[in-house]
Amino acid sequence: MNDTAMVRIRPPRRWNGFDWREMWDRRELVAAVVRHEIQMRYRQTVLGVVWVIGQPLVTTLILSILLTRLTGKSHEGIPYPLFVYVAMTSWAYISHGLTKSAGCFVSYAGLVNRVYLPRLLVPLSVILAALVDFAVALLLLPVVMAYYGVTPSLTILALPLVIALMILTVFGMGIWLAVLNAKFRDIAYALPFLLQLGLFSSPMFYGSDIIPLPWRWLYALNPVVGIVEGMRWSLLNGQPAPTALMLISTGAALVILSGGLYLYQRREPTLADVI
Amino acid sequence: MDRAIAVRNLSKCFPNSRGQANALRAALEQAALKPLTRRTSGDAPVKQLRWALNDISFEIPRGECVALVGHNGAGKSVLLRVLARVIRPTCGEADLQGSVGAMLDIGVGFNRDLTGRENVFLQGAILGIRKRDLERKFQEIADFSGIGDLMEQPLKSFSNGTQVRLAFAIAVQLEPEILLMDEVLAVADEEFIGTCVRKLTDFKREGRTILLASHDMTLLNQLCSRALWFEQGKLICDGPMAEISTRYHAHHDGIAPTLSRS
Repeated sequence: MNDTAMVRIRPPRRWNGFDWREMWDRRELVAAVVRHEIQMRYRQTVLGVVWVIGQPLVTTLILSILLTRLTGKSHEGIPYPLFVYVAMTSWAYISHGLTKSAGCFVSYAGLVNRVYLPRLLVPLSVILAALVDFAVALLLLPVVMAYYGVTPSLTILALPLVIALMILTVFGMGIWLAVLNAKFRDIAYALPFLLQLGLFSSPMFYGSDIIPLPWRWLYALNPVVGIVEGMRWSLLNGQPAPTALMLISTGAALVILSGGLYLYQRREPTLADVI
Repeated sequence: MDRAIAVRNLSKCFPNSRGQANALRAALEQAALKPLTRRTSGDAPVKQLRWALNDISFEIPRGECVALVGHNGAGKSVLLRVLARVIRPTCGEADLQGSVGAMLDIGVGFNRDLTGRENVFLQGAILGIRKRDLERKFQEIADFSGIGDLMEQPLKSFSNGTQVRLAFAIAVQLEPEILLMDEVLAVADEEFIGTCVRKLTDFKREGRTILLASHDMTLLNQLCSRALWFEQGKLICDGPMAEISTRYHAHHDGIAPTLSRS
């Protein structure tokens, strides 16, 4: 009689799998949540969209001025402020994206509790929405680079790959945080501290070359290492390609993502029970 | 044969943790105490299980409008949430034949700071209505909800009743083959309830199946031919709406219901 397929509702199993087709069919939801996240950023504020551009802009200014005054030295021919700024743009995205995804099921509790939808799209949407700040910081980069007289080379063409690794990393870690925080709200409280540890254990203020070569592969298991070194290599002229570091970091990011997806399919059926 | 919903031995038990805030602590404590407790006493701590749904079975043919009645906490909402695939059952299973649309709450995902128009598109995306369909039907939604030129105002300037109108107007655009509704018309005024009854009657005529939880017996008597009566997670009566509503009223006057299935 009906051409629509029958849906069978069953208790959760050990392996609940993924309905990728359904997620693709519901892609408009991602667009709507991304738009909502961005709209809410400046709704009810006097300065409006100025906040979106203003925050990365002011951060850039402070970083550049402060870092030049404090150190004034250069790192392998690259002015130190630029060296740090490039790293900080990606770190700002990583920490913002992780914070947003950790809280996403809780802040969208109304959805998780009351509507059926592919819930993996919720963390995906918030990390995509967080890209706005990153985009602004990236657009300001040519200005900062021109100020320091650094011109990019052809390696800039590899930038999308580095950004892809960055999104992959944040999505993988974000799923872990989102699913765990739904049950254990402690995660959201622990996160600022964990991010602080992450900041100092990643090559933000120094280069990965301060780690002894035999240990560097171990260091690169932190995917942020591959991202930051990749950003520097692709944007700033004359750095050697961090191929090995990036490959190791990509591998680590994929392992984290797979683990996150496994945890998600295990926990997704009971998400609305605990939120 | 031509049935829309078939529920077999469905049960739901919520995990009874000591409040979500303590969840991690409880898990850690349990892990830490495990070797100790095993040595001292063999007894595992007895968990208090609360069955929100207890061994429910029923079938609903296509095109029937069925009422869910029962006191607060009887399990009506839990059943609707299971059928809407928001939560999973603990045991048993249910088959749904056809597309499902659920209105479990007033304007899920409505954001009070966004305008009416923005909320229509957000809500539509959440429910899974395509954007181009929404654009095409936007005027229809505005007319049906009777909101008109308020659409560009933020939602917080709307009354609760108006929000229900808007939510209902969007949800019916889904045109689901099975519509699940939980107590959402409670704050609507009589005029709008009249509009909704007409819309739901049309739905019935089109062969759509409706499952409607409510305490409003007048509304249920108008729409439904059959009722399922729940108490404490159990389905205690399944019969014609008129009969159940009489007995439900009698129950309020102190006469205990008896189990009957017709």
